[in-house]
Amino acid sequence: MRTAATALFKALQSGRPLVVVFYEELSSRDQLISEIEILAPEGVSVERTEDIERAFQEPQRVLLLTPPNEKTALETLDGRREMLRERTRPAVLFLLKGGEAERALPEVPGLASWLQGQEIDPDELSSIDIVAERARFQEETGKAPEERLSRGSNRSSAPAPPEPPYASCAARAGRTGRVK
Amino acid sequence: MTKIDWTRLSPHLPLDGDDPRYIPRPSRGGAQLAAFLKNGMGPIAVTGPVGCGKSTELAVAANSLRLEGITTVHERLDRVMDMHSVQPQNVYARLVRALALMGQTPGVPVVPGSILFPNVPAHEPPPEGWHDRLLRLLRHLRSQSPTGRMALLIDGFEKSPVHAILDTVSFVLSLSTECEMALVVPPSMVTGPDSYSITSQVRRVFPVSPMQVRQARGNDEGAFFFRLFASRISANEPDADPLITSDLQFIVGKAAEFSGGIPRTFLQLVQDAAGYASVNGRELPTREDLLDALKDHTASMKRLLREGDVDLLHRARGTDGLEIPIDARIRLLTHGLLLEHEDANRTVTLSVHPLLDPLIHGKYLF
Repeated sequence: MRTAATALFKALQSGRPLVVVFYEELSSRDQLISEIEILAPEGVSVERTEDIERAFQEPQRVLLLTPPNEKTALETLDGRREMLRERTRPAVLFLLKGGEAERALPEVPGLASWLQGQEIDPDELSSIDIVAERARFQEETGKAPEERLSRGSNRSSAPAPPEPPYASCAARAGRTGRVK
Repeated sequence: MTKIDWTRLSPHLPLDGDDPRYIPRPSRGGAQLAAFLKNGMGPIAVTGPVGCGKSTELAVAANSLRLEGITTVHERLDRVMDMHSVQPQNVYARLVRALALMGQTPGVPVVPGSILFPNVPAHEPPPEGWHDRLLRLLRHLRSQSPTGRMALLIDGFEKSPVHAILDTVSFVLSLSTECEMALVVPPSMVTGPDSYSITSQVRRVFPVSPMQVRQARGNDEGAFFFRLFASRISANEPDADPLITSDLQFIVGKAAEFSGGIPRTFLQLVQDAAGYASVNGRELPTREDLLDALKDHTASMKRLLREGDVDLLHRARGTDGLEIPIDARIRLLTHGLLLEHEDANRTVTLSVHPLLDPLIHGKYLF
């Protein structure tokens, strides 16, 4: 299941140098920072900084980048992205959703290519698009969800699957699905 | 089965020219680029969409030229300077340094200090013009080369805004009378109405293109992606056999299809699918994990679209794209949102990146 927590967890473990997380407002950015601190691999140093230069200097630390000028930071990271190659832990750049930096992504094709699949919009991921999910379910199973659920309720309960490794982290992060 | 370290896929890392993990492309790879240069068919502008492997192919070409006894300088400007604020004098100083270092390479005669003019700070004008200084260095190295030949391969210009580097690239190309030369440049520098100043100075544009994976399953391009995956995963572990399960073969094949034939996207998709598998406590990715990865990538690609782009994509697919406004076409091709393929008859056809299937077809054509 793709959620904000699973997407963040996956991105932090990927070994790729840069992750972007979109936020709606400063308070939600602070909440996201707390969640990433929880989701970060055990024993890995996590630090918040406004100084983009540190992304080029501290490759083994998860850096949470909250630059005062996000568009300038994006351009700096694009212009010098080859110097991020040594990062073994990601720098996480926070960008205001709909802000100048997000709109500037088409101007930095190289960095945008690096970031593909590593741009996380927790608000969007936390929303459940009922129409799309219903269509997907029907396409995959050939049945309406209600029909499938009514059949499923007659079955004996199967043993619960093993708990995935991120589950406790995700539970602590407390992010739940929100219906769109 | 050996436990797979998925971080080894390293989608963001181009390979060095002698890296054993390198898998030759079915066409237009580093060996062909080197062959053009060896046969005096430069200067060459290397270009292509992001993630296609331009840097790796240039490195392979440099290695191949060296093996042929051609004194070769391979300068990666993007590893030492901010390509968004490139100053011409910094590029020139960097080239002087690279050429001087080449003069200190074992087997290559030392460049005399009188040619180098050492200790001149990059921000100060040199005691003579940059052009003459570089010319002296190139001629000296060429004269000392075992084959009497010299090659200069420069990577990184493709990361700069065109207006910021036009004069610098033009200046560097003016040195191509002294050596074989290949430069990686942005597509907009060699395509469209404003490209004349550069295209008139190069003899050949060498596109490193997306491979055609979706339309022709099981062909050389498809095999390339399986070999690419295996080489990245099993490096240092020759006994590992990551393709042992048919399920994983299915995932790798589908990731290749949805990569649009772009190696970086392919590696990212496999790694992301494996990341979701790991999150769910699985060793190997399943179809569901790959679908989750596809959704992440589609979301990223959608951010690159501007108003009206979806209509343009609909209009462009299956055509040569000449009716699409040139600026939009270059932008969409640079990002790999539109993919350009050339058949044996040199007919160009555009397709929309498979990750945009949901916008074009309403769902992934899985």
